Amino acid sequence: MSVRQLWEGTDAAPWIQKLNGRTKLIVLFLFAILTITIDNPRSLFVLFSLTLLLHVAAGTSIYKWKVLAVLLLLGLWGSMFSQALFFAQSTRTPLFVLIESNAGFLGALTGGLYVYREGILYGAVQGLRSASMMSLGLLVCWTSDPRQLLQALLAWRLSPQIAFMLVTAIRFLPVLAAETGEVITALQLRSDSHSGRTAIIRHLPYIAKPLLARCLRRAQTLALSVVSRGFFLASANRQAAMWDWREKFCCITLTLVVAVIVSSKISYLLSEQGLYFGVLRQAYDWTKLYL
Amino acid sequence: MRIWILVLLLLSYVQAACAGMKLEAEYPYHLERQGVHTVFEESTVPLYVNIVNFNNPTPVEAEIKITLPQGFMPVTEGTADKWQVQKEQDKIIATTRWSLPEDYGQTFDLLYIESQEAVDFGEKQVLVEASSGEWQESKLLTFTYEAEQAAAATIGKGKPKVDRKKFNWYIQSITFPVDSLGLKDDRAEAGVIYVRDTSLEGFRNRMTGEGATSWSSVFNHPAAHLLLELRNPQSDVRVLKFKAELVDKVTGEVKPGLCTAGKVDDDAEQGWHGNEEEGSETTALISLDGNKAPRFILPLYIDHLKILEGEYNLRITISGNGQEKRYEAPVTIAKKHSIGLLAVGFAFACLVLVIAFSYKIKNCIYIIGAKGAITVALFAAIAFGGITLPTTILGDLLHVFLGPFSGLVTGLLHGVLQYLLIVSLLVLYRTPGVLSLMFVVKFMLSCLMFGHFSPLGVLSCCVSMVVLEATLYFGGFYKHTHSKENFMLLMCVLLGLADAFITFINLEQMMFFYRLYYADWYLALYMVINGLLYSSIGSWLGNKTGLKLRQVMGE
Repeated sequence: MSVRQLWEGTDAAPWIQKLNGRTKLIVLFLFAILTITIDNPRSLFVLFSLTLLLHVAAGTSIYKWKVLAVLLLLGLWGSMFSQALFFAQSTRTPLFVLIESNAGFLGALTGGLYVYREGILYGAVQGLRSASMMSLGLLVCWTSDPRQLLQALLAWRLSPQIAFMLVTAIRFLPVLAAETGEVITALQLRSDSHSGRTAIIRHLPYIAKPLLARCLRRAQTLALSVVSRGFFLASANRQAAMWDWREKFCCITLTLVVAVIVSSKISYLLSEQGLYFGVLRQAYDWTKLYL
Repeated sequence: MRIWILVLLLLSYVQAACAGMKLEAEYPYHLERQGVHTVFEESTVPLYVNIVNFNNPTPVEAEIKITLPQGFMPVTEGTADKWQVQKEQDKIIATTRWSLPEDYGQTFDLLYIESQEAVDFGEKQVLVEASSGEWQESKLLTFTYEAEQAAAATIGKGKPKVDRKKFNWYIQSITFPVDSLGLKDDRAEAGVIYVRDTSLEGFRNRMTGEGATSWSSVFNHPAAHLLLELRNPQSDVRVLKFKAELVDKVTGEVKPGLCTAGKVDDDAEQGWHGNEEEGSETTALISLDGNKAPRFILPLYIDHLKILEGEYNLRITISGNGQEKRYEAPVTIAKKHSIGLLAVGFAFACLVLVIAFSYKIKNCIYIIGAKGAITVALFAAIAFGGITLPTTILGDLLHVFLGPFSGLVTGLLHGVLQYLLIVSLLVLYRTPGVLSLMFVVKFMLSCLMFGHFSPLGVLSCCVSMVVLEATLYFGGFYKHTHSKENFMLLMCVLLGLADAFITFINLEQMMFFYRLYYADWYLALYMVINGLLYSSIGSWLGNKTGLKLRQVMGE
């Protein structure tokens, strides 16, 4: 499977492909709000599992599962690594000492750098947030055409000019990638050193100028073409795809649920600061147990 | 003149004649109450002895002898090396020797006296005698020995069984947090102590080696107050040492975090000064004054640099005269994430500003025209392909090896390449809104291609747009069509500083939303390297690239 195929949503289950772009973006955004609201490890795990179940329901291919697994594991590892170093809760048990607190300047600067056992676990739990968001984000990408999402943005009164810019950027992404390749090839051929002729990293600092110069020339040509046909200032075609009432209903319900959860969490946090309302006691208990 | 010499001689004679010592004694002695002359049945009450000496050219030895009435015994537990007790006929005599310092000095001690069982009630007398060379002075202290008051009713109907071998005060309960009057706010969660956010001050003070923020501030504003309730069935009067420590729930090991207010001199601010060698505890002296149910409101001081969030046990130890009582209660230390909250508040303010000025971004498209808009779109595409794409994929891979420090490598893209693109674009199109336009397109690309449609993504994008646009606007970048090299150098440094600020806000937001921990030095490192250094370099390269690209524009 090519990289291009990887980002196309052609092999996904029809039900999820047919979903309106607006529904997908709303669910994605609300889900992100949910993940940053919830603290309870079990609830976070439930949310994460839910995204994986959605992948199963969407019929994500094996290849994509592999990519997803690698990205999730790397993300979780990153979170565990950083929190193992910076964990600042009691109890914490140092497993390794990277920098002693009395090790000269670095020791004085960092106050000692240790790998804490409890931090690894904490990082894994907290990493579930970004893992859940990444999992759902990739699900949306793998099951949607960018045009579908763009239509959704247009339906929400996105400026037609910005939409045009967005389309231009998306269209020219592969072209720009190909041009970068050409520039690198040219730089390699022009290189007077035999030792680093093939090393791309050696030529990276020199890529920007020719690439940007080509962009400017392309912009000039495109602008002439677009303006002469009256595309640029024309109002966008806002004939967005019909938004099914069932999808609408689901979005409204989910919005309400998320609003209740967020309100409950905020009121609980405020109660900890002294802004306590007796009538919300059950909400406080519920929040403490599940959120 | 002769008269003056005569007066001086007279004065020196008078001074020598006045040299001497003075005995002070009080029984029963109360730290806070004066003029109490009653000792209750079965109580332990201190006798206060003080010798004031003045104008002594050399240190002198003084002998103190205390004769107690029948049925009263001095408590020498823990002070046996200071006081010698002997029985003469049916009276108890306690003696000691003190070395009085030269010139002026006050030498004093408390001798705890315990009443025995089966002592007749009524008037009693204690004789205190002090002598040193020719000087001799005595005090006869009269007191009334009475039966126990009805105070027992305040602590319950049943009279507790008193073990005469021990002092019978004990810890009844501790309540925290309470206010400085000892009142508990029922709305506040019990057993939770909130610690204010001092991340920035902590880093600064670590570098200057000062410890916590400002000791006077720490000690003038305790993190919490604790209400300690004791029971004192024998109506003892004594001074006790209070000690509060945070201990690990599992291992019982004492953890750092609490500290003691130490008053050393008036040179330190308001006389307060912290002493790290005193240990991780809050200590205080408390006085039992004969009350059967004494209550104490004690401040808990926190070393903000050492305290860690988490679940602990608060161990309270009360000790005195060789006796020690302990009490443990669960405590949660929670840090207030004020800076994170402030960062999120700032980000929301930026979001509001972006929404309010969105029409200007749209106007900007008309100003730069189709060619400009397409250029911005293509630059945003390069930014997406050259920054977002590799940092999403390679950034995770780098995380495996470099952990949180992978950002210093991927920062080369975020800092150098991003600012190269931004500044070169600004050199070509010096119009307010161009930068924001590029950020909007880049963010939307990452939404559509990677599903990075999250509140944090939206807020971070808005922060970058507002801070950078404001820097360029107030820095005077948009006032000129061409800028001199020195001005551009200044702008590059300003953009670097702005990016350092953006980096700080974004990291604080991440810590707030994702409940992550990052050390203060790590934030500083990121701000300096990723923010200031990389972005300034990128901006300078962008300026150079932009000037070259102008030639292409003119073709």
